[in-house]
Amino acid sequence: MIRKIFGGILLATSLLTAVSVSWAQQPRSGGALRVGIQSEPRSLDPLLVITDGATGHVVSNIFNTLVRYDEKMQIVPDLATSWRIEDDGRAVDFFLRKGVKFHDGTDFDAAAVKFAFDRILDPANSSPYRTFFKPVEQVVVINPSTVRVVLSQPWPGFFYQLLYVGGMGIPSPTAVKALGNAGFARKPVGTGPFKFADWASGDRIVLTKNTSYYRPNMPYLDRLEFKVIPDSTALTTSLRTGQLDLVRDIPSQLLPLLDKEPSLVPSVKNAYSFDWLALNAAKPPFNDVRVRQAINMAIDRDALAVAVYGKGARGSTAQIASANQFHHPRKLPTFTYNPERAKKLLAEAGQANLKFTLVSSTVKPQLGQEATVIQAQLARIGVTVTHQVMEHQAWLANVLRAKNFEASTVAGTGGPEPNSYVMFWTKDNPVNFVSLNNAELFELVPKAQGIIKDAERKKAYHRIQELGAQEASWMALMEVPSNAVMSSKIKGYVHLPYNVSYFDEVWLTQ
Amino acid sequence: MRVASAGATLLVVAAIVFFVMRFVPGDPVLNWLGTSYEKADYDRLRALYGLDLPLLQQFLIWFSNLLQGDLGYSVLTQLSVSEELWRRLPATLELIVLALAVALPLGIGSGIWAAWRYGKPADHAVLTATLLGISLPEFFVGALLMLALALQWRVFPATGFEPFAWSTEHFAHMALPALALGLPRAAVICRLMRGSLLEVFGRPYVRASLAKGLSRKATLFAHAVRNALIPVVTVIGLQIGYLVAGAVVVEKLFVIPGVGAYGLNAVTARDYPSVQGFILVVAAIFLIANLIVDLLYLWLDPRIRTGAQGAGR
Repeated sequence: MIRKIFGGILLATSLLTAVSVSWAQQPRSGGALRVGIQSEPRSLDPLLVITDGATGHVVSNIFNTLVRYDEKMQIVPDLATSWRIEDDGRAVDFFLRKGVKFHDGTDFDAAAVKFAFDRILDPANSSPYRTFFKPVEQVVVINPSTVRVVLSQPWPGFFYQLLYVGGMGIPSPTAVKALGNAGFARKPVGTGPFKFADWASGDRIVLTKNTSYYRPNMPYLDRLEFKVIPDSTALTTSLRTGQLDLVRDIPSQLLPLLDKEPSLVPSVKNAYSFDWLALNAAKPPFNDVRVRQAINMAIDRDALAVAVYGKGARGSTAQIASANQFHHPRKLPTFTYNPERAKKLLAEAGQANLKFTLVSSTVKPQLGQEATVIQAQLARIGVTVTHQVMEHQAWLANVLRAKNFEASTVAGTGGPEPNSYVMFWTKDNPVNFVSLNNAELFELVPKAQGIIKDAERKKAYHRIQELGAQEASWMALMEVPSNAVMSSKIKGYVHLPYNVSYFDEVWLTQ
Repeated sequence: MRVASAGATLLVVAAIVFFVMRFVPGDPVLNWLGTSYEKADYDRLRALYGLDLPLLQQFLIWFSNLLQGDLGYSVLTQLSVSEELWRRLPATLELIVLALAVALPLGIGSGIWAAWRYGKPADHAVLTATLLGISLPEFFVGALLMLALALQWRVFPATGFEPFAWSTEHFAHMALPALALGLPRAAVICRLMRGSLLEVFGRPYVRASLAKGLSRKATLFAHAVRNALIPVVTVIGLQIGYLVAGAVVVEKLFVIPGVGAYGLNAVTARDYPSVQGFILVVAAIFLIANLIVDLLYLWLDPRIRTGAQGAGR
């Protein structure tokens, strides 16, 4: 009898355990998630304002885009359920999801998509993304659920461009017209999983659940709070004391500190971003290509990467990141550490005792650290480097705009689209601040953007990287790893190594 | 008279800041556009904000708006500068008041105590502690407090802001920032109080009072402290300036959406209208604090009161 009861209890407990296990796997609705961001967005209008690191994580939850990324960074449907590309590559028809509503209750349709494109392309709106969308000739509404984008040239990178930093979110035309650009920037209305609720400037941005979101049962969270914490000590302390649940891309030297916390789960991935070395080809000493090549060969990029970003970080081998499919498979010569060859090149150029000034902006501390390491590495071949730290605004004015510099470390973001790495290598581009001048590159860079066949396109980008490496004026130093540190109660968060976070699938275990 | 001269000072400050900001490298439009843009966009945005006009004309436009109480709009966020500053002012004022609530009793109290125990171990201990307090900047004191009281002992929350309310929640969030801002000021006030009191101790009236048979303690509190406070009060007025400057750093560290954090963002983004508005507010706080200090003199030093009446007659 006792055995029977015992057996019964055992069976009941194991059943209960089984139930609770499957219970734990089932996404649970409810709860609030607090995300720490290191800079305050200046606007939540995804079309009008250049989105810094943090803004993308916020706007990608208020707005939907035509397409979105899956966990492997492949493009999958979002507001467009499918699409058809014309054979000549000069038009794309998007077939739109039906029955989707904006947060203000108005219907999402083809006219809204056209409105979003036209807003970017209208010069009066001064969208920093206008130059990126240049190949878009016009957008035509075919019917309420079909929209056609006409392109001036075939543009295989188009879909990636729709997903630039925060993504080309589709805003409610009614809300934009009612609020104006400035008003909409502080009170955005989209179709996304969360509605904008409140923005206490300098403090937090609050989003609440969109109960009529198009994905069934989603989002799971009731509330999403983005807290602005610029100081990294304050940020990590808040994470460790449980005041925050998730933080993206904290300075990598702080990761070991957080590894020890049992309640936190870190994730580190190879990202698309690089830190770069810019050498001004318009001015001595770097107007001599041999000197530029020599400096690059005298830098031990792997050692530099580890010194600045910690164990596991890698020096770059070409100008397109290894996460991108157009990355050059070979380690290009000027990316290869070769101090002997560097010395020889400098001697040939009559610059055996080269002295120059390397500036770094204060936009992120790593740029200064890189300059210090480069200074030490170059001293080994007899080159004297003066390191000058420049406040970021002064850097933008002196280096980027006035081109008044010899050498600089630079932070840059790339993406899955290869053109983002080489886009300023075009003739008369004002952002070509290193004054790169190479006829073949000027021809090839715009052409590569329009090649439809993958193999041919790959070939073109490989050639571009080879030419760029020979020019050696704008050279990637190392890949900047992306990280996410989150509380162990978070489930369903996919760490995309890019400035985007989709919180519709995220839920909390407690 | 004092109010009029304070107003004039503010206007001079405004003019200086306007021109100084224009000579600092960088501009708000460049900050807006980032690293890839076309020259036409740059020119259009500069024209939109009136940055293409001659400098003097820009100044006159801004100045005449200022006289009508209009501080303009932020280039960074398009929000009204005066509305934003007005919204953020209470948090900063509260932070300063709380920091003073830490600094004054602690500074004056420990100063009196150190002077009372002059040359004894207690005096040395206070001197050492205040040396640390003077040498350590607010952001470092703040980070230390955060690591100790928020992370290690979990007494107070590390960051976060709760709008003003008479609640434990609100004051728990303000505790660390107030300490971080107040402790270094307490150190300065303490050293000054101690020095001033020691000087007063040597004065004939103190000796006379002791000779009269009054106890040391009674002499200290009835005569010496009040007189020793006069130079301290002068310095407290100046310390308000340090408190406002310190608030910039402390607000950033503890994420308090006050005027200081606003100013810091504005300066890094070269958001001219916001920086100008911020400096005006800081200057106004400083001027008002010093007016209050002048009024305190009247209470502390009867000679000033009599002098004022004499002049009136």
